Amino acid sequence: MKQRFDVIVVGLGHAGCEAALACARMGLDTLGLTLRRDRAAVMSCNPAVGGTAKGHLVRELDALGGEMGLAADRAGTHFKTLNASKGPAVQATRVLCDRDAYARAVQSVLFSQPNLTVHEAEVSSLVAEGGQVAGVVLGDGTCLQARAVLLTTGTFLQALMHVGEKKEVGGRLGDEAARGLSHSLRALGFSLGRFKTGTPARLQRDTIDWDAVEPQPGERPARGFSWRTRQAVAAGQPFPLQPPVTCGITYTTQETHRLLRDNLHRSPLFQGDIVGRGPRYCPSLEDKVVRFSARERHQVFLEPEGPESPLVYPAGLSTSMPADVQLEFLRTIPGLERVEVVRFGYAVEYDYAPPTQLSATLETKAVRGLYFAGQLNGTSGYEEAAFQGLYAGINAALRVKGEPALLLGRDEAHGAVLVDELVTRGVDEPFRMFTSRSEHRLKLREGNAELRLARHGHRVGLLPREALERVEERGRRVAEEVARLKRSGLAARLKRPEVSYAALAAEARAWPELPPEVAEEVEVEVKYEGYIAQAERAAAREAEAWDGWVIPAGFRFSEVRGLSAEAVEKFTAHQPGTVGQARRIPGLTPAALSLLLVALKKERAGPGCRSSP
Amino acid sequence: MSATTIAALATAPAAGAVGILRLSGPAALEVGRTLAPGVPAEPTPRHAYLAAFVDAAGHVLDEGLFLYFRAPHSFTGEDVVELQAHGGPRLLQLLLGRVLEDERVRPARPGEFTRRAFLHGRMDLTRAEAVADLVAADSAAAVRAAAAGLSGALSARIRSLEEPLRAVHADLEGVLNFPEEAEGADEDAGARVAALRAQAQALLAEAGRGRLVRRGARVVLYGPVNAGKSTLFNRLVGEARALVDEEPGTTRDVLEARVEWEGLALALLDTAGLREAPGRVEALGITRTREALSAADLALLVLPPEARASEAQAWTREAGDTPVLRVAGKCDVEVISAPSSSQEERGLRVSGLTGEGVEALRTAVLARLWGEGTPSAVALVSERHADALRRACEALTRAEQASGLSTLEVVSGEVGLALEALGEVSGTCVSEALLDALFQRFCIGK
Repeated sequence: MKQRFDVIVVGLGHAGCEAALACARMGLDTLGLTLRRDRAAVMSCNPAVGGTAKGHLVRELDALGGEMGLAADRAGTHFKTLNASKGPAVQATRVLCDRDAYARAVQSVLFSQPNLTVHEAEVSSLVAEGGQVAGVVLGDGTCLQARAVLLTTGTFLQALMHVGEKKEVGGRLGDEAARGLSHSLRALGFSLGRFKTGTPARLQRDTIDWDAVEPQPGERPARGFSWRTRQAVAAGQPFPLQPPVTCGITYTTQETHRLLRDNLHRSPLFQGDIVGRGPRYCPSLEDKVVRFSARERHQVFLEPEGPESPLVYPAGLSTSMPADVQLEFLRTIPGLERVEVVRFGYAVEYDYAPPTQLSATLETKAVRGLYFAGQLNGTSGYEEAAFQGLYAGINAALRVKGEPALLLGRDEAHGAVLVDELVTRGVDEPFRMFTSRSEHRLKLREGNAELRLARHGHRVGLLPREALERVEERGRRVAEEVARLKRSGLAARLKRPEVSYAALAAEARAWPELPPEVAEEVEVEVKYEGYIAQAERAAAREAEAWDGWVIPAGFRFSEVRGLSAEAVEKFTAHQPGTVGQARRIPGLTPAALSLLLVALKKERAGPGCRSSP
Repeated sequence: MSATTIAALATAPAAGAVGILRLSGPAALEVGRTLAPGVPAEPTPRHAYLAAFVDAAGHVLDEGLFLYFRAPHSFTGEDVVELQAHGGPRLLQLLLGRVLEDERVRPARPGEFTRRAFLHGRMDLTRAEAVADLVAADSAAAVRAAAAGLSGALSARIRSLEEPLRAVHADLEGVLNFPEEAEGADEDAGARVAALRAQAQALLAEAGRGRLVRRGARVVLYGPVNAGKSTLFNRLVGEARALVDEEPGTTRDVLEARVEWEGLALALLDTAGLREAPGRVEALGITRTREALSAADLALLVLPPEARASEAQAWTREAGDTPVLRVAGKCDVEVISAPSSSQEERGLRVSGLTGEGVEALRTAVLARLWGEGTPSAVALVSERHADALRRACEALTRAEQASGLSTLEVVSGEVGLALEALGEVSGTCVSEALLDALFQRFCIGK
């Protein structure tokens, strides 16, 4: 094997695959390293892609030239649109996949991609010279050189699995952990933290009483993620490609809760064996039973892992209880009275690198040419990982090529909000994306992801010219139609809630023939114009009031009078450059912020101080 | 740390109550002890000493409490001494006069204690913001309002709005972000938003009154000249003359006088020169009157008792958007009213000549300007806060409208904007608070 590459990607999960494909497609000689080739792009937890905010990320990634959306479309067995009635900006696509088909779809692309070599090896350390990354050292001592290195190691750094009282070293059941890298990262000056996540048991499909649970079929016609899928459908190709799957809904019972409560002393979470902080939004069932003790039942989604798969993923039942407790509580749930477990649920603890150590391109501040993406940055979820992988991959490639970085604004993409939150605010629990995180939510819709981002995808070389031209044509037709409606005064009528675009068209004598995707966008733009303008004004005011207030470089937070040690530590760790950034640091009290403002005002007014801008 | 020591009476100069004389600065203890020589040279901080307060000759004036707060553990962050005396205003003035004889001490400017507290990092932002207004305050009520802001009344009022609003926001965002787990949490969102909108508007109305308290209210007297208007103006101004700083109007046509009624600053303007009914007056006069009316917070329409309803309506229209309080002047002159005109239509009966009804008029003016309740309860003391509250109200109004008409994401977005605006006052970061609320309220699974 060669010893010198343009880019090396360490880890081929959802972040690593996007990063490796992006670099190779942008013409760089790329090496992808993984512990096991056959586990590339494996869905370690639930077999689904998308959902609220996550669907947005996939559409954005797709518009930029990423792979996840197309792979999910190809492997999709159950398609659903969430929030269809709650507004176009929160409407989101969720696709349940055939787990194996998904990994195959990505792997087939990965292994046939020109410029991309995939190699099985463990990386034991990183090599940096003079603040610039130089390459990696493999477990067998081989040195590989590269101009950029992307670390996308997921939950594998110092990973420890817990099943009840049993602990096992490993990042995923059946896979080993990466051990040397954490040490190497610390030696380079990076700090690492500890998080935990969990996954539920996998159930044997034919031991579930499907007649006892509420069936939940997918939608028809199915709506996928990718522009390439829509193009294929328009060309008459069949979609979906997989046979449909029907999911089931059932609920936990009082008996389930009693069993969990009685066995709390055997849970590593409550025993204190797990030190890493887990996410609040994806708690284990034992967590939920304790925290929401008033709840009579919790919903469980039974999701077959594929049309032919003998496995079922029970969403909502994440746990790290010992195996005997798991089996016992599962059998208290209607439909699962005779269930057999193929694999028990477990929790995994792993090292993450606090992402405030990264710049806005996901390049590390300490080592140039070194990029971190995915769960290593403390995020949770395939979609969050994939977007970061693509973003870091694009920027690493642009850097190697000497081209300007791709920096998306918070008003351009949920993905940009994700990256900005990570690098400026950091994380204090595994981070997942919510649409609520975006102050520009009404603008950042799944439906206009391509209109927002295609030009960037094309600029960096991932989106073909024809694709961009199609998007631009669509944008032109939307703009023309909106302008026509305004000229004719029809826009004012369309703003009224009871008036739809279709209704206007129906009563008119002459009306332009527009494809549904254009008509939809026109309707949303007109109806939401006022609200979007309000939100934009508020965001601008916020930016002006707080983000325009600069904290001078070298400002000594430790000298701010009255500030608690904890607040000083937070300010010092985050080094906010503006009051706006300081406000977004999680866990700060309003009082701490007030004290900072007072100190800044004093500094501004004080004698001998240069006036800040 | 400031080198000068400042002194002021910290309580209203009213008889009966306990009065507090406060000193802050490096010389506070030493100067304070000249009034209360019985207190030890190194008193225990935060300890209340019973002390005799003496005059320059050593005669005991009063007995009271002496408290010492050592820097930085005091309200201002400096050495602070408080003398609590029982005596009336005159006695307190005497005590104040004595400390001011010391050359290291000067009278505190309005809000200066607070300003020092702010600069020494002893005070949070909402409270500190009140300082600027306090410094500019020129009536007793404005000082009281600023003080209410300083004591955190504003924070409390905003919080009582913010907390339920945040719960609504979390419910709506819960439904939007976790459709399965939070299903149904948005059920009564419309009613909840409507109730909070009403609450916010009530607070905003107070804020509007707060603004009147801060900069004073402008009240314009207008109407035909033979209605007894000028006599009434003189009566209104003259009665308060002891407190008033009368200055002639900037133009020949408008007379202005400043008065303070029940601690509230008012500018009274007499639009002289309107000798005839509108429509036939000279252009210059009507222009100036209109300018005065449009900038006024309240217009007093003074009409002769025999004025007809149509005449009154024509005059009322002249005031435009400014609220009008109708007054029947010259009630000392007996006229036979038209049988149809009720007391209500004729307006308040007053006589500038005899003073009859003037007290009722003053009460009516204050009520129209500040509504029921005392303006000192108004906590909103900075223009920025009033503006933030106004934006919160607007967003909630849009949210309420959208809850019947548009999508849930729009409703929630507007509620979020309202919270952002309130957060500018309370210092709460909305996105962080939202996530906390979400996770507390919903059991959110994978």
